[in-house]
Amino acid sequence: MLLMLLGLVVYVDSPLMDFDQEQFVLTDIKPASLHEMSVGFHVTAGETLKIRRVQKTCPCEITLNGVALPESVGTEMVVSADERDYFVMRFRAPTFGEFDDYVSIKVVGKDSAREDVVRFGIRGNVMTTAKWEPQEIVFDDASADGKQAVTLTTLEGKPLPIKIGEIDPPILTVTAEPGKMNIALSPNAFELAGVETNGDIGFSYTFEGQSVWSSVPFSVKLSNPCVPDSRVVIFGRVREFSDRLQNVTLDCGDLELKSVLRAPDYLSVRHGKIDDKVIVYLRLTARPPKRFSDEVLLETSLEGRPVRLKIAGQIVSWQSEGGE
Amino acid sequence: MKVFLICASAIAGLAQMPPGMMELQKDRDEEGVAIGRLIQPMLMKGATLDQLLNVGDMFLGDDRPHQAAFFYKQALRLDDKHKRATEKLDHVKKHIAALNKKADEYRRKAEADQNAADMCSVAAIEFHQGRSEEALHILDDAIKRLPNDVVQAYGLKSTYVHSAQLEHDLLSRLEKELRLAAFDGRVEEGALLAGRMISIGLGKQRSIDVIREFQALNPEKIDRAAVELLSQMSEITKASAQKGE
Repeated sequence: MLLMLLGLVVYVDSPLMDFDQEQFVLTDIKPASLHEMSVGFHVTAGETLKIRRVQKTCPCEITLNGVALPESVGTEMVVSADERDYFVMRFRAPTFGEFDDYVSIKVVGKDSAREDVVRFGIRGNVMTTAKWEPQEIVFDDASADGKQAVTLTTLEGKPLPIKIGEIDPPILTVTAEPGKMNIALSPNAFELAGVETNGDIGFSYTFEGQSVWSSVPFSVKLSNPCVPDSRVVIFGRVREFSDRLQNVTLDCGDLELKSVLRAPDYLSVRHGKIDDKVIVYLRLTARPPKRFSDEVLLETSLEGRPVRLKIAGQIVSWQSEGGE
Repeated sequence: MKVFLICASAIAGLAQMPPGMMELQKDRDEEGVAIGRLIQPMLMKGATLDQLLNVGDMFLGDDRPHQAAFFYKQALRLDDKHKRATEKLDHVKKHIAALNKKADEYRRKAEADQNAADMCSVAAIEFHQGRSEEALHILDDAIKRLPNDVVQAYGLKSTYVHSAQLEHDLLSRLEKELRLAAFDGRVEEGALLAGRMISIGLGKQRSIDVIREFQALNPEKIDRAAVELLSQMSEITKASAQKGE
Protein backbone atom coordinates (compact mmCIF):
# COMPACT_ATOMS: atom_id res chain seq x y z
CA MET A 1 0.00 0.00 0.00
CA LEU A 2 2.77 2.38 1.01
CA LEU A 3 4.63 1.59 -2.18
CA MET A 4 1.51 2.32 -4.22
CA LEU A 5 1.10 5.72 -2.53
CA LEU A 6 4.79 6.53 -3.05
CA GLY A 7 4.43 5.59 -6.69
CA LEU A 8 1.44 7.91 -7.05
CA VAL A 9 3.35 10.85 -5.52
CA VAL A 10 6.29 10.26 -7.86
CA TYR A 11 3.91 9.99 -10.79
CA VAL A 12 2.12 13.24 -9.94
CA ASP A 13 5.36 15.21 -9.35
CA SER A 14 7.36 13.91 -12.28
CA PRO A 15 7.76 16.22 -15.30
CA LEU A 16 5.69 15.51 -18.36
CA MET A 17 8.68 16.00 -20.67
CA ASP A 18 12.46 15.91 -20.37
CA PHE A 19 14.54 18.50 -22.25
CA ASP A 20 18.23 18.24 -23.03
CA GLN A 21 18.72 22.02 -22.50
CA GLU A 22 16.60 24.83 -21.08
CA GLN A 23 19.14 27.70 -20.81
CA PHE A 24 21.10 29.22 -23.71
CA VAL A 25 23.91 31.76 -23.56
CA LEU A 26 24.91 33.75 -26.65
CA THR A 27 27.90 36.04 -26.25
CA ASP A 28 29.27 38.75 -28.52
CA ILE A 29 26.79 38.06 -31.27
CA LYS A 30 26.20 40.40 -34.18
CA PRO A 31 23.47 43.02 -33.94
CA ALA A 32 20.06 41.77 -35.09
CA SER A 33 21.59 38.43 -36.05
CA LEU A 34 19.34 35.34 -36.23
CA HIS A 35 20.18 32.30 -34.10
CA GLU A 36 18.69 28.82 -34.19
CA MET A 37 18.89 26.50 -31.21
CA SER A 38 17.54 22.96 -30.98
CA VAL A 39 15.91 21.66 -27.84
CA GLY A 40 15.72 17.85 -27.73
CA PHE A 41 12.84 16.39 -25.75
CA HIS A 42 11.41 13.09 -24.57
CA VAL A 43 7.78 12.66 -23.51
CA THR A 44 7.94 10.98 -20.12
CA ALA A 45 4.31 11.43 -19.08
CA GLY A 46 3.20 8.06 -20.42
CA GLU A 47 0.35 9.74 -22.28
CA THR A 48 -0.27 12.05 -25.22
CA LEU A 49 0.51 15.73 -24.54
CA LYS A 50 -0.87 19.00 -25.88
CA ILE A 51 1.67 21.83 -26.24
CA ARG A 52 1.34 25.56 -26.88
CA ARG A 53 3.50 28.61 -26.45
CA VAL A 54 2.39 30.91 -23.66
CA GLN A 55 4.87 33.77 -23.35
CA LYS A 56 7.97 35.32 -24.90
CA THR A 57 10.04 38.40 -24.20
CA CYS A 58 11.95 38.53 -27.47
CA PRO A 59 11.43 38.33 -31.20
CA CYS A 60 11.52 34.52 -30.96
CA GLU A 61 9.80 31.59 -32.56
CA ILE A 62 9.65 27.99 -31.46
CA THR A 63 8.82 25.27 -34.00
CA LEU A 64 8.40 21.51 -34.14
CA ASN A 65 9.03 19.87 -37.48
CA GLY A 66 8.91 23.28 -39.13
CA VAL A 67 5.55 24.25 -37.64
CA ALA A 68 5.40 27.10 -35.11
CA LEU A 69 3.91 26.21 -31.74
CA PRO A 70 0.42 27.74 -31.56
CA GLU A 71 -0.58 30.19 -28.85
CA SER A 72 -4.34 29.74 -28.53
CA VAL A 73 -6.09 27.23 -26.30
CA GLY A 74 -7.73 24.59 -28.44
CA THR A 75 -5.12 24.77 -31.20
CA GLU A 76 -2.35 22.96 -29.28
CA MET A 77 0.18 20.74 -30.99
CA VAL A 78 -0.02 17.08 -29.98
CA VAL A 79 2.95 14.78 -29.21
CA SER A 80 2.55 11.07 -28.45
CA ALA A 81 3.55 9.21 -25.36
CA ASP A 82 7.24 8.31 -25.31
CA GLU A 83 7.96 10.47 -28.41
CA ARG A 84 11.53 11.80 -28.81
CA ASP A 85 12.09 14.80 -31.07
CA TYR A 86 13.40 18.35 -30.90
CA PHE A 87 12.07 21.90 -31.03
CA VAL A 88 13.85 24.61 -32.96
CA MET A 89 14.05 28.03 -31.34
CA ARG A 90 14.80 31.04 -33.51
CA PHE A 91 16.06 34.12 -31.76
CA ARG A 92 16.65 37.56 -33.30
CA ALA A 93 19.36 39.45 -31.40
CA PRO A 94 18.80 43.04 -30.36
CA THR A 95 21.04 45.66 -31.95
CA PHE A 96 23.14 46.45 -28.89
CA GLY A 97 23.76 45.69 -25.27
CA GLU A 98 22.96 42.75 -23.03
CA PHE A 99 19.80 40.69 -23.19
CA ASP A 100 18.02 38.25 -20.89
CA ASP A 101 14.91 36.78 -22.52
CA TYR A 102 12.78 33.69 -22.42
CA VAL A 103 10.14 31.70 -24.26
CA SER A 104 7.74 29.58 -22.27
CA ILE A 105 5.50 26.70 -23.31
CA LYS A 106 2.63 24.97 -21.59
CA VAL A 107 2.37 21.18 -21.68
CA VAL A 108 -0.91 19.46 -20.72
CA GLY A 109 -1.57 15.72 -20.34
CA LYS A 110 -4.41 14.84 -22.69
CA ASP A 111 -5.93 12.28 -20.33
CA SER A 112 -4.70 13.36 -16.88
CA ALA A 113 -4.96 17.13 -17.52
CA ARG A 114 -1.67 17.54 -15.60
CA GLU A 115 0.11 20.77 -16.55
CA ASP A 116 3.71 21.94 -16.78
CA VAL A 117 5.05 25.32 -17.82
CA VAL A 118 8.62 25.19 -19.15
CA ARG A 119 10.70 28.30 -19.65
CA PHE A 120 13.63 28.38 -22.12
CA GLY A 121 16.04 31.18 -21.23
CA ILE A 122 18.22 33.03 -23.72
CA ARG A 123 20.72 35.53 -22.41
CA GLY A 124 23.96 37.08 -23.58
CA ASN A 125 25.20 40.23 -25.22
CA VAL A 126 25.62 41.85 -28.61
CA MET A 127 29.15 42.54 -29.73
CA THR A 128 30.44 46.09 -29.60
CA THR A 129 30.19 47.56 -33.07
CA ALA A 130 31.01 51.18 -32.43
CA LYS A 131 32.50 53.37 -29.77
CA TRP A 132 31.39 56.79 -28.56
CA GLU A 133 32.80 59.40 -26.26
CA PRO A 134 31.77 60.56 -23.75
CA GLN A 135 29.56 57.81 -22.40
CA GLU A 136 27.26 60.29 -20.68
CA ILE A 137 26.35 63.94 -21.16
CA VAL A 138 25.94 66.21 -18.15
CA PHE A 139 24.64 69.77 -18.28
CA ASP A 140 24.99 71.90 -15.17
CA ASP A 141 24.99 75.64 -14.41
CA ALA A 142 28.53 76.03 -15.77
CA SER A 143 27.85 74.24 -19.05
CA ALA A 144 24.20 75.26 -19.49
CA ASP A 145 24.84 77.80 -22.23
CA GLY A 146 27.39 75.84 -24.21
CA LYS A 147 27.36 72.91 -26.61
CA GLN A 148 28.65 69.42 -26.02
CA ALA A 149 29.62 66.78 -28.55
CA VAL A 150 29.60 63.00 -28.70
CA THR A 151 31.87 61.36 -31.24
CA LEU A 152 30.84 58.04 -32.75
CA THR A 153 33.25 55.86 -34.69
CA THR A 154 33.75 52.27 -35.71
CA LEU A 155 36.04 50.23 -33.51
CA GLU A 156 38.79 51.10 -35.99
CA GLY A 157 38.15 54.83 -35.48
CA LYS A 158 36.27 55.57 -38.68
CA PRO A 159 33.48 58.17 -38.26
CA LEU A 160 30.01 56.68 -38.49
CA PRO A 161 27.03 58.45 -40.04
CA ILE A 162 24.48 59.05 -37.29
CA LYS A 163 20.71 59.32 -37.35
CA ILE A 164 19.17 60.99 -34.30
CA GLY A 165 16.17 59.23 -32.79
CA GLU A 166 13.99 60.08 -29.82
CA ILE A 167 15.27 62.43 -27.13
CA ASP A 168 13.51 61.61 -23.90
CA PRO A 169 12.62 63.95 -22.25
CA PRO A 170 12.78 66.40 -25.17
CA ILE A 171 14.86 69.08 -23.48
CA LEU A 172 17.93 68.90 -25.72
CA THR A 173 18.64 70.10 -29.22
CA VAL A 174 20.74 67.51 -31.03
CA THR A 175 22.17 67.76 -34.53
CA ALA A 176 24.20 65.11 -36.29
CA GLU A 177 27.11 65.09 -38.68
CA PRO A 178 29.20 62.08 -39.70
CA GLY A 179 30.84 60.73 -36.58
CA LYS A 180 29.52 63.44 -34.27
CA MET A 181 26.45 64.60 -32.37
CA ASN A 182 26.24 68.24 -31.27
CA ILE A 183 24.13 68.71 -28.17
CA ALA A 184 22.73 71.83 -26.51
CA LEU A 185 20.02 72.50 -23.94
CA SER A 186 16.67 73.51 -25.39
CA PRO A 187 15.10 76.64 -23.89
CA ASN A 188 12.46 74.49 -22.17
CA ALA A 189 15.21 72.69 -20.23
CA PHE A 190 15.52 75.71 -17.97
CA GLU A 191 11.94 75.19 -16.86
CA LEU A 192 13.19 72.10 -15.05
CA ALA A 193 15.77 74.01 -13.05
CA GLY A 194 16.00 72.85 -9.47
CA VAL A 195 15.14 69.26 -10.34
CA GLU A 196 17.75 66.84 -11.63
CA THR A 197 16.46 65.36 -14.87
CA ASN A 198 17.84 62.22 -16.51
CA GLY A 199 17.15 60.94 -19.98
CA ASP A 200 18.50 59.37 -23.17
CA ILE A 201 19.45 60.50 -26.64
CA GLY A 202 18.42 57.76 -29.05
CA PHE A 203 20.49 57.37 -32.21
CA SER A 204 21.24 54.83 -34.90
CA TYR A 205 24.04 53.91 -37.25
CA THR A 206 24.56 51.18 -39.78
CA PHE A 207 26.65 48.08 -39.16
CA GLU A 208 27.05 45.59 -42.01
CA GLY A 209 23.84 46.84 -43.59
CA GLN A 210 21.96 46.53 -40.32
CA SER A 211 20.56 49.56 -38.55
CA VAL A 212 21.82 49.56 -34.98
CA TRP A 213 19.89 51.58 -32.40
CA SER A 214 21.54 52.76 -29.25
CA SER A 215 21.40 55.65 -26.80
CA VAL A 216 23.56 58.04 -24.81
CA PRO A 217 22.33 58.84 -21.31
CA PHE A 218 22.23 62.46 -20.21
CA SER A 219 21.47 64.38 -17.07
CA VAL A 220 20.58 68.03 -16.56
CA LYS A 221 21.40 69.52 -13.17
CA LEU A 222 20.50 73.20 -13.23
CA SER A 223 19.99 75.09 -10.03
CA ASN A 224 16.79 77.05 -9.59
CA PRO A 225 17.48 80.77 -10.16
CA CYS A 226 15.26 81.43 -7.14
CA VAL A 227 15.07 78.93 -4.32
CA PRO A 228 11.55 78.52 -2.93
CA ASP A 229 11.03 77.86 0.79
CA SER A 230 8.93 74.83 -0.09
CA ARG A 231 9.20 72.52 -3.07
CA VAL A 232 5.45 72.45 -3.67
CA VAL A 233 2.93 75.16 -2.87
CA ILE A 234 0.22 73.09 -1.24
CA PHE A 235 -3.31 74.47 -1.17
CA GLY A 236 -4.37 71.38 0.72
CA ARG A 237 -8.09 70.72 1.08
CA VAL A 238 -9.76 73.88 -0.16
CA ARG A 239 -13.01 74.57 1.68
CA GLU A 240 -13.16 78.21 2.62
CA PHE A 241 -12.60 81.30 0.56
CA SER A 242 -9.37 82.06 2.39
CA ASP A 243 -8.00 78.59 1.51
CA ARG A 244 -7.77 79.73 -2.09
CA LEU A 245 -4.76 81.92 -1.35
CA GLN A 246 -1.31 80.52 -0.65
CA ASN A 247 2.11 82.07 -0.65
CA VAL A 248 5.69 81.06 -1.09
CA THR A 249 8.91 82.89 -0.36
CA LEU A 250 11.71 82.82 -2.91
CA ASP A 251 15.37 83.52 -2.35
CA CYS A 252 16.36 85.13 -5.63
CA GLY A 253 19.64 86.78 -4.65
CA ASP A 254 20.24 89.66 -7.03
CA LEU A 255 17.62 88.53 -9.51
CA GLU A 256 14.27 90.23 -9.94
CA LEU A 257 11.01 88.47 -10.64
CA LYS A 258 9.44 90.06 -13.67
CA SER A 259 6.23 88.44 -14.84
CA VAL A 260 4.22 85.27 -15.05
CA LEU A 261 5.26 83.24 -18.08
CA ARG A 262 2.82 80.42 -17.57
CA ALA A 263 0.13 79.57 -15.06
CA PRO A 264 -3.02 77.49 -15.18
CA ASP A 265 -6.21 79.36 -16.15
CA TYR A 266 -7.67 79.06 -12.68
CA LEU A 267 -4.73 80.69 -10.93
CA SER A 268 -3.59 84.31 -10.52
CA VAL A 269 -0.17 85.24 -9.27
CA ARG A 270 1.20 88.40 -7.62
CA HIS A 271 4.59 89.01 -6.11
CA GLY A 272 6.54 91.59 -4.19
CA LYS A 273 9.99 92.04 -2.70
CA ILE A 274 10.77 91.98 1.02
CA ASP A 275 14.44 92.74 1.70
CA ASP A 276 16.39 90.09 -0.25
CA LYS A 277 13.40 87.73 -0.57
CA VAL A 278 10.46 87.66 -2.92
CA ILE A 279 7.00 86.84 -1.66
CA VAL A 280 4.70 85.22 -4.22
CA TYR A 281 0.95 85.00 -3.67
CA LEU A 282 -0.97 82.41 -5.65
CA ARG A 283 -4.72 82.57 -5.70
CA LEU A 284 -7.35 80.26 -7.15
CA THR A 285 -9.52 82.69 -9.09
CA ALA A 286 -11.61 80.04 -10.83
CA ARG A 287 -12.54 76.53 -9.86
CA PRO A 288 -9.70 74.13 -10.66
CA PRO A 289 -10.16 70.37 -11.20
CA LYS A 290 -11.18 68.51 -8.04
CA ARG A 291 -7.62 67.32 -7.54
CA PHE A 292 -5.13 69.65 -9.14
CA SER A 293 -1.39 69.54 -9.60
CA ASP A 294 0.18 72.09 -11.90
CA GLU A 295 3.12 74.33 -12.56
CA VAL A 296 3.69 78.05 -12.59
CA LEU A 297 6.54 79.60 -14.51
CA LEU A 298 7.83 83.01 -13.50
CA GLU A 299 10.16 85.12 -15.59
CA THR A 300 13.29 86.47 -13.91
CA SER A 301 15.65 89.25 -14.83
CA LEU A 302 18.06 86.55 -16.04
CA GLU A 303 16.85 85.95 -19.56
CA GLY A 304 15.80 82.40 -20.31
CA ARG A 305 16.06 81.35 -16.66
CA PRO A 306 12.52 81.19 -15.31
CA VAL A 307 11.48 79.96 -11.87
CA ARG A 308 9.22 76.97 -11.72
CA LEU A 309 6.77 76.47 -8.88
CA LYS A 310 4.66 73.39 -8.38
CA ILE A 311 1.19 73.69 -6.91
CA ALA A 312 -1.20 71.03 -5.66
CA GLY A 313 -4.46 70.76 -3.81
CA GLN A 314 -7.93 69.35 -3.63
CA ILE A 315 -11.26 71.14 -3.88
CA VAL A 316 -13.59 70.05 -1.10
CA SER A 317 -16.08 72.88 -1.38
CA TRP A 318 -16.38 75.72 -3.87
CA GLN A 319 -18.91 78.48 -3.53
CA SER A 320 -19.10 81.65 -5.55
CA GLU A 321 -17.54 84.67 -3.94
CA GLY A 322 -20.90 86.40 -3.41
CA GLY A 323 -22.33 83.31 -1.76
CA GLU A 324 -19.89 83.41 1.09
CA MET B 1 -5.24 96.98 41.67
CA LYS B 2 -6.00 95.81 38.15
CA VAL B 3 -3.61 92.92 38.63
CA PHE B 4 -5.48 91.70 41.66
CA LEU B 5 -8.80 92.02 39.90
CA ILE B 6 -7.50 89.81 37.12
CA CYS B 7 -6.38 87.23 39.66
CA ALA B 8 -9.78 87.33 41.38
CA SER B 9 -11.72 86.88 38.16
CA ALA B 10 -9.44 84.02 37.20
CA ILE B 11 -10.34 82.09 40.35
CA ALA B 12 -14.00 82.24 39.38
CA GLY B 13 -13.16 80.65 36.08
CA LEU B 14 -11.08 77.79 37.38
CA ALA B 15 -13.23 74.92 36.24
CA GLN B 16 -15.02 76.49 33.32
CA MET B 17 -14.59 78.94 30.48
CA PRO B 18 -14.49 82.42 32.07
CA PRO B 19 -17.91 84.07 32.11
CA GLY B 20 -18.59 86.37 29.21
CA MET B 21 -15.93 84.74 27.00
CA MET B 22 -18.44 84.00 24.24
CA GLU B 23 -19.59 87.60 24.24
CA LEU B 24 -15.97 88.64 24.22
CA GLN B 25 -15.44 86.58 21.08
CA LYS B 26 -18.30 88.38 19.36
CA ASP B 27 -16.93 91.73 20.44
CA ARG B 28 -13.65 90.83 18.86
CA ASP B 29 -15.09 91.42 15.40
CA GLU B 30 -14.78 95.06 16.29
CA GLU B 31 -11.66 94.67 18.37
CA GLY B 32 -8.74 96.89 17.53
CA VAL B 33 -10.76 99.10 15.21
CA ALA B 34 -10.08 102.28 17.19
CA ILE B 35 -6.29 101.96 17.01
CA GLY B 36 -6.64 100.43 13.55
CA ARG B 37 -8.27 103.61 12.29
CA LEU B 38 -5.32 105.64 13.59
CA ILE B 39 -2.72 103.33 12.04
CA GLN B 40 -4.54 103.07 8.68
CA PRO B 41 -3.55 106.53 7.36
CA MET B 42 0.01 106.07 8.64
CA LEU B 43 0.34 102.99 6.46
CA MET B 44 -1.10 104.73 3.43
CA LYS B 45 0.59 108.10 3.58
CA GLY B 46 3.42 107.77 6.06
CA ALA B 47 3.44 108.46 9.77
CA THR B 48 3.07 112.00 11.06
CA LEU B 49 4.10 113.12 14.51
CA ASP B 50 0.52 113.75 15.60
CA GLN B 51 -0.60 110.32 14.42
CA LEU B 52 2.19 108.65 16.37
CA LEU B 53 1.27 110.55 19.51
CA ASN B 54 -2.40 109.68 19.08
CA VAL B 55 -1.62 105.97 18.71
CA GLY B 56 0.63 106.22 21.77
CA ASP B 57 -2.21 107.84 23.71
CA MET B 58 -4.60 105.09 22.68
CA PHE B 59 -2.21 102.39 23.89
CA LEU B 60 -1.63 104.29 27.12
CA GLY B 61 -5.36 104.59 27.64
CA ASP B 62 -5.58 100.84 27.20
CA ASP B 63 -2.88 100.41 29.89
CA ARG B 64 -0.21 99.31 27.40
CA PRO B 65 2.65 101.56 28.53
CA HIS B 66 5.38 99.75 26.59
CA GLN B 67 3.50 100.14 23.33
CA ALA B 68 2.67 103.75 24.19
CA ALA B 69 6.34 104.47 24.90
CA PHE B 70 7.27 102.94 21.57
CA PHE B 71 5.04 105.34 19.65
CA TYR B 72 6.17 108.37 21.69
CA LYS B 73 9.78 107.46 20.91
CA GLN B 74 8.93 107.23 17.22
CA ALA B 75 7.35 110.69 17.43
CA LEU B 76 10.53 112.05 18.97
CA ARG B 77 12.52 110.64 16.08
CA LEU B 78 10.61 113.01 13.82
CA ASP B 79 11.16 115.93 16.20
CA ASP B 80 13.51 115.23 19.09
CA LYS B 81 12.53 118.43 20.89
CA HIS B 82 8.81 118.05 20.60
CA LYS B 83 7.43 119.13 23.96
CA ARG B 84 4.27 117.03 24.12
CA ALA B 85 6.06 113.91 22.96
CA THR B 86 8.84 114.43 25.50
CA GLU B 87 6.33 114.90 28.31
CA LYS B 88 4.34 111.89 27.29
CA LEU B 89 7.41 109.71 27.10
CA ASP B 90 8.67 110.89 30.47
CA HIS B 91 5.27 110.16 31.96
CA VAL B 92 5.05 106.71 30.49
CA LYS B 93 8.62 105.90 31.47
CA LYS B 94 7.74 106.66 35.06
CA HIS B 95 4.68 104.46 34.71
CA ILE B 96 6.77 101.59 33.31
CA ALA B 97 9.37 102.08 36.04
CA ALA B 98 6.63 101.88 38.68
CA LEU B 99 5.21 98.81 36.99
CA ASN B 100 8.62 97.15 36.86
CA LYS B 101 9.22 98.06 40.49
CA LYS B 102 5.91 96.54 41.43
CA ALA B 103 6.70 93.40 39.46
CA ASP B 104 10.10 93.15 41.12
CA GLU B 105 8.48 93.50 44.53
CA TYR B 106 6.03 90.75 43.69
CA ARG B 107 8.90 88.60 42.49
CA ARG B 108 10.89 89.20 45.66
CA LYS B 109 7.87 88.55 47.84
CA ALA B 110 7.03 85.44 45.89
CA GLU B 111 10.59 84.17 46.37
CA ALA B 112 10.68 85.07 50.07
CA ASP B 113 7.21 83.95 51.10
CA GLN B 114 6.64 81.28 48.46
CA ASN B 115 3.38 83.07 47.80
CA ALA B 116 1.36 82.03 44.73
CA ALA B 117 -0.69 85.24 44.70
CA ASP B 118 2.46 87.31 44.17
CA MET B 119 3.62 85.09 41.35
CA CYS B 120 0.17 85.47 39.77
CA SER B 121 0.58 89.22 39.95
CA VAL B 122 3.92 89.05 38.15
CA ALA B 123 2.33 86.82 35.52
CA ALA B 124 -0.54 89.25 35.10
CA ILE B 125 1.86 92.13 34.44
CA GLU B 126 3.68 90.08 31.81
CA PHE B 127 0.47 88.94 30.17
CA HIS B 128 -0.97 92.39 29.97
CA GLN B 129 2.12 93.63 28.17
CA GLY B 130 1.58 91.03 25.45
CA ARG B 131 4.10 88.52 26.78
CA SER B 132 1.65 85.65 27.17
CA GLU B 133 4.30 82.92 26.90
CA GLU B 134 6.32 84.46 29.70
CA ALA B 135 3.15 84.79 31.83
CA LEU B 136 2.25 81.13 31.31
CA HIS B 137 5.80 80.13 32.12
CA ILE B 138 5.60 81.99 35.46
CA LEU B 139 2.28 80.34 36.29
CA ASP B 140 3.60 76.88 35.40
CA ASP B 141 6.56 77.58 37.64
CA ALA B 142 4.22 78.61 40.47
CA ILE B 143 2.13 75.46 40.05
CA LYS B 144 5.28 73.33 40.13
CA ARG B 145 6.91 75.07 43.09
CA LEU B 146 3.82 75.61 45.23
CA PRO B 147 1.74 72.48 44.74
CA ASN B 148 -0.37 73.21 47.85
CA ASP B 149 -1.40 76.65 46.67
CA VAL B 150 -2.26 76.25 43.00
CA VAL B 151 -5.92 77.26 42.79
CA GLN B 152 -5.19 80.85 41.92
CA ALA B 153 -2.44 80.00 39.44
CA TYR B 154 -4.56 77.35 37.70
CA GLY B 155 -7.45 79.78 37.42
CA LEU B 156 -5.28 82.49 35.95
CA LYS B 157 -3.63 80.04 33.59
CA SER B 158 -7.02 78.89 32.34
CA THR B 159 -8.00 82.51 31.64
CA TYR B 160 -4.76 83.27 29.85
CA VAL B 161 -4.81 80.12 27.76
CA HIS B 162 -8.33 80.89 26.58
CA SER B 163 -7.48 84.49 26.00
CA ALA B 164 -4.32 83.60 24.06
CA GLN B 165 -6.33 81.11 21.97
CA LEU B 166 -8.92 83.76 21.16
CA GLU B 167 -6.17 86.18 20.22
CA HIS B 168 -4.51 83.53 18.06
CA ASP B 169 -7.79 82.74 16.28
CA LEU B 170 -8.61 86.37 15.72
CA LEU B 171 -5.13 87.19 14.42
CA SER B 172 -5.27 84.16 12.11
CA ARG B 173 -8.55 85.36 10.66
CA LEU B 174 -7.29 88.92 10.24
CA GLU B 175 -4.09 87.65 8.61
CA LYS B 176 -6.13 85.70 6.04
CA GLU B 177 -8.29 88.73 5.35
CA LEU B 178 -5.25 90.95 5.02
CA ARG B 179 -3.60 88.55 2.57
CA LEU B 180 -6.73 88.55 0.41
CA ALA B 181 -6.90 92.34 0.55
CA ALA B 182 -3.19 92.53 -0.30
CA PHE B 183 -3.70 90.29 -3.33
CA ASP B 184 -6.71 92.31 -4.54
CA GLY B 185 -4.99 95.65 -3.94
CA ARG B 186 -7.71 96.72 -1.49
CA VAL B 187 -5.25 98.90 0.36
CA GLU B 188 -7.61 100.96 2.54
CA GLU B 189 -9.27 97.87 3.90
CA GLY B 190 -5.92 96.16 4.26
CA ALA B 191 -4.40 99.09 6.14
CA LEU B 192 -7.27 99.02 8.61
CA LEU B 193 -6.85 95.25 9.07
CA ALA B 194 -3.14 95.77 9.63
CA GLY B 195 -3.87 98.43 12.24
CA ARG B 196 -6.27 96.10 14.02
CA MET B 197 -3.64 93.37 14.03
CA ILE B 198 -1.16 95.77 15.64
CA SER B 199 -3.73 96.71 18.24
CA ILE B 200 -4.73 93.13 19.09
CA GLY B 201 -1.37 91.40 18.76
CA LEU B 202 0.63 94.35 20.12
CA GLY B 203 3.01 94.07 17.20
CA LYS B 204 3.73 90.35 17.33
CA GLN B 205 6.17 89.14 14.70
CA ARG B 206 3.55 86.99 12.94
CA SER B 207 1.43 90.10 12.29
CA ILE B 208 4.41 92.13 11.19
CA ASP B 209 5.36 89.44 8.66
CA VAL B 210 1.95 89.63 6.97
CA ILE B 211 1.93 93.44 7.04
CA ARG B 212 5.30 93.41 5.28
CA GLU B 213 3.85 91.09 2.64
CA PHE B 214 0.93 93.50 2.25
CA GLN B 215 3.38 96.34 1.62
CA ALA B 216 5.52 94.25 -0.76
CA LEU B 217 2.51 93.49 -2.93
CA ASN B 218 1.36 97.10 -2.90
CA PRO B 219 4.61 99.06 -2.80
CA GLU B 220 3.15 102.14 -4.46
CA LYS B 221 0.23 102.47 -2.08
CA ILE B 222 1.56 101.36 1.28
CA ASP B 223 4.30 103.39 2.92
CA ARG B 224 7.36 101.26 3.43
CA ALA B 225 8.83 103.47 6.15
CA ALA B 226 5.63 103.18 8.21
CA VAL B 227 5.76 99.40 7.89
CA GLU B 228 9.40 99.37 8.94
CA LEU B 229 8.50 101.56 11.91
CA LEU B 230 5.74 99.16 13.00
CA SER B 231 8.09 96.20 12.45
CA GLN B 232 10.21 97.38 15.37
CA MET B 233 7.24 96.87 17.69
CA SER B 234 7.80 93.11 17.61
CA GLU B 235 10.76 93.63 19.92
CA ILE B 236 8.40 94.62 22.74
CA THR B 237 6.53 91.33 22.76
CA LYS B 238 9.70 89.27 22.80
CA ALA B 239 9.92 87.89 26.31
CA SER B 240 13.50 88.76 26.98
CA ALA B 241 13.33 92.30 25.61
CA GLN B 242 12.40 95.53 27.28
CA LYS B 243 12.82 94.21 30.81
CA GLY B 244 15.00 97.13 31.59
CA GLU B 245 12.66 99.71 30.10
